[in-house]
Amino acid sequence: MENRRAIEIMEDYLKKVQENLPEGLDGDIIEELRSHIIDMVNERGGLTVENVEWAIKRMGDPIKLAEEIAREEGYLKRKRIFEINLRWGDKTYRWGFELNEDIMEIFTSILWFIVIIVLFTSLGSIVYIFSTPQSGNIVDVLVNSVGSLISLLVFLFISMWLLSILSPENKRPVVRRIIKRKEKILVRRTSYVKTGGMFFSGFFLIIIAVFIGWFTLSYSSFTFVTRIVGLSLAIAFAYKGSILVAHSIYMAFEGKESLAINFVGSLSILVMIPSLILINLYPSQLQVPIIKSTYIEIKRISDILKYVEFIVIPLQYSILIQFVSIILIVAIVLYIVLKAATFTREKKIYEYLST
Amino acid sequence: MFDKSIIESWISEIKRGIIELCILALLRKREMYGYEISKELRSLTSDILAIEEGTLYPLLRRLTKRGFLEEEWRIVDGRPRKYYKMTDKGLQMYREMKVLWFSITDEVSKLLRGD
Repeated sequence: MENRRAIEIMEDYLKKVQENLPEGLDGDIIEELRSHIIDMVNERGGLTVENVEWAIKRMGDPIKLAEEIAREEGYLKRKRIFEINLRWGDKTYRWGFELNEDIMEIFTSILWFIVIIVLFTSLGSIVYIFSTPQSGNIVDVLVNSVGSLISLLVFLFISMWLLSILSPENKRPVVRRIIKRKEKILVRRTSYVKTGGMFFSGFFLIIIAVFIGWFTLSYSSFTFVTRIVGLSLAIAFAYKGSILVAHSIYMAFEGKESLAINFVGSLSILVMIPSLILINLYPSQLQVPIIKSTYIEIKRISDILKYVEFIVIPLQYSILIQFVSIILIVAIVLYIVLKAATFTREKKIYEYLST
Repeated sequence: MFDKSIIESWISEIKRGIIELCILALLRKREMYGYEISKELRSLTSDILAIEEGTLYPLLRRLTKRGFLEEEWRIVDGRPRKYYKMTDKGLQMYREMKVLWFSITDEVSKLLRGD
């Protein structure tokens, strides 16, 4: 019993190190660390909980250890900005957003710049309102300022995060193609960044889908074709968003991506085919948004809709619309065929390499 | 009255530079595995150059990446163990570092003796 508990403590520690190592790096280092801990423990008298705890304390913080190892391999250290921990029974699942250390400084500078700009413009607006009371509402200014700040920060964070994960330092060292392929398929390790990013992307897509669906149904001047296009878009976004959320949950539980869920997610675009066929049959029924006034005064977000009008496509553009819709249908079909072929091929490679 | 943390930080920086030389010096004699290196460092230097286990492996990886060490997995008593061995390049590096070390310590000692 004591032995089993001691082994559990050791394996938990090694798992934490492994989770914080970049993809492809955790192979023999974990085995080496395990051997080291066992040697330490044996010298102290054997595999007991007390000895293992002493040994892992000597080893140091697992995250710092992983970072030091990764740094020696040329990987940049990442700073965790945002993390969600979900406890389910005796397991904890984590999703987090991280930035590379070289980007952190730029991120912090731009962050402060945005905060200061929004603060000063808000103060300026408030002072203006006080001096000319009829010009607006302070609450509106504050709400718009907070909204602008949040939007800018979200945009900043997402772009910095994309820079981090796409930077060359995050790629695995170049190895022989078959090993790289094997690692990619067999050991599709997930990182907190990817899991967290997928979850929140899916969540935002669902929100966008709800908004598009609500707008499509509530705007009274839409034609039948435009409504179908709008609803198809909403369904496609909702479908893709749900798959992303489901996939991120799968990745959190299983620690790897799923080929099947990836493939199923890519089918979301098929939802657009019926609406493209309708556009092809009734091109003059399709509506597009235009700005109907050269003078625009916007005090609230809802004011934007006053200046936007949806008009049907002029007849002279019908042929072009039909042509584009056919191209899009062909492109979607080819895309799905390519995805299915890739999925089948990867599945075969996976099965071959697993034996 | 001096700040202990400054002294500790200074010692840590000195150790960081010296430990690589010490690891090479140990592996000059014979090949060893990670825990053995850590134990030898502790015992041969009376704990002064005791290295945190967590620092050892990044250092070993650095030396291996630079081509100074070779690694080899072996099964010992039914358990896998990674042994480290010095390469020719490592030996050359060790000899250069040793010469530099003695000249640096000589010069510093001269300076301190004059104080």
